[in-house]
Amino acid sequence: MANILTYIELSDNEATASSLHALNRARDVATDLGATLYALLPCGATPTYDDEDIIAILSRHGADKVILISHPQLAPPALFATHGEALVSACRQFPPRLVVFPASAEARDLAPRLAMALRAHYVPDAVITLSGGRRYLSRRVFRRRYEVREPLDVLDDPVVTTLRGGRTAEQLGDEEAEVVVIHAPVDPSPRVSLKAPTSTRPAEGPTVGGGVGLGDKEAFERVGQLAAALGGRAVASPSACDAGLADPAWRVGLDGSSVESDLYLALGSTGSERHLVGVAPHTELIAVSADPEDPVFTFARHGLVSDPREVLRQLSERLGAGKE
Amino acid sequence: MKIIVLLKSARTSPGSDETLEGLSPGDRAALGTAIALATEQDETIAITAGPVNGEGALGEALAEGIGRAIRITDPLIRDADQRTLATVLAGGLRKVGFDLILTGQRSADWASGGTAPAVAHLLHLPHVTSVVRVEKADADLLVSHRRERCDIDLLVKPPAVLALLAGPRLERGRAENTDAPDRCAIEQLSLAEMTLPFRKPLVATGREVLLVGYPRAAMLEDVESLATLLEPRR
Repeated sequence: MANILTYIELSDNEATASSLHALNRARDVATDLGATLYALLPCGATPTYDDEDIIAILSRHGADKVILISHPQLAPPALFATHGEALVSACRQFPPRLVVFPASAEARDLAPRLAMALRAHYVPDAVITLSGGRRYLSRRVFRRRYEVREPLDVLDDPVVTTLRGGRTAEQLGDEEAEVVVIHAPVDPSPRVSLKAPTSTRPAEGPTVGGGVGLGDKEAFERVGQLAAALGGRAVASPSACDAGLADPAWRVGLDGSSVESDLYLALGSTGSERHLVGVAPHTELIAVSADPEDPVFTFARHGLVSDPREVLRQLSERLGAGKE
Repeated sequence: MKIIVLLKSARTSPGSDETLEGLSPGDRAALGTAIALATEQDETIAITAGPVNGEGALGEALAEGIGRAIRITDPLIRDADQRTLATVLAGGLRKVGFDLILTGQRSADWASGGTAPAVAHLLHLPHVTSVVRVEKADADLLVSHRRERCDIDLLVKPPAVLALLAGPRLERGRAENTDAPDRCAIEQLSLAEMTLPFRKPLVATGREVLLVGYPRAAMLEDVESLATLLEPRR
């Protein structure tokens, strides 16, 4: 029977929502393929057992079995440099057809190298889609202009993927998963070590950006105020910066910086390639433009056809932007 | 210290030989970090592997002050998958030598973010992704790794591979003369000069590349529905 492994990311000793979402989706695939679904749980200390323990939670979210790798050096934060050997060892003991990670910064460090170690195909920032009765791993490439689809029922080589879109997860049952404890090697003196206690910061709010469609500098000042009200960052398209409408430091895209937040509200941007180069694949794009033919609506998750200046004004009022 | 910057001349579309003008945010951060870290005793080298006309990134790197620029090109790597490309880059790095390898977190075309970990794997080096700051700390490097809710400071013993999300800002004015890069200054490295363990390219069975159709966005009715989407995420 084939094995599917889902990596469980921990935050304050609890599985993250995106891990449980990934476990849900892996459950769908495992059921289709008749595979065994393992939750792969590296942790710094053996978890306690009660009704609300992590094993029970993983069971309820679809795991058939839980692979527990416990070692003091496996406490979060997980990096491949510190946790890689343990993950590779687990995959050698339970050779997977598919390894699923939640799309997160942690997974972006672990998953691609695990794929190399397993000689697996790597499919990052994917969603699972259904088409013609088949499940696919789909992801956008080339500045969101193309979609790559890989069928999940024809996995000749193992696949390692990171799944986007996991803000919620559902409980699928209450059967208790079997726990498999394994002893995995841990590098006693890794060449990457934690320097200082982790400095936490609030999760970044939505990024708010403007394109030339906003028209003038005053509108970009309002973009800055709206971004501040949402707890996010203000950015601008290269065209808006080149036109002198926005601070050059706001430039996102070619020769600029990138948007890494979960959500990006783009106002008055046409969706040029130069700009979208800087929008991370995992970022959900919401576009507002007056022209329904603007290509940005092809690449966005949500769109609103309306005057972007007026939308900016109304949103600013509604969300209290610019008020002391 | 020999500081290498791996740059990608991103293609305009799958299978095309045309490349985008300009550097991706990650590559620009890697270039800025290399220039900021390097002292007079250090050597800086920019390397690309890919299409024949992928010289724009190297020209820009030279204009920004990188010491040497090397292009690895060969018809064999025209449609290389990530593992093959990483193998070629690792071969080039073994040939050139390295103490620190910097690159962007993701390219502007396939955007997989897998090249840095793949190169590190092939060279048996540690890697760190999502890097937003690099400083020298005696013989080690102090590296800030970005997570969703925190930045984690790490001590990294070089040689290592770092994938950059952000870095020191380069003054764009310095790059204005990249319109006419001195192509004579770009060195060529061919696969024949490397000893490469080529294997069968790894391509998933049934893989399809589709042009995204219009329209794909779920259209909202009004500002009220937009605000409803934004408010829970603030």
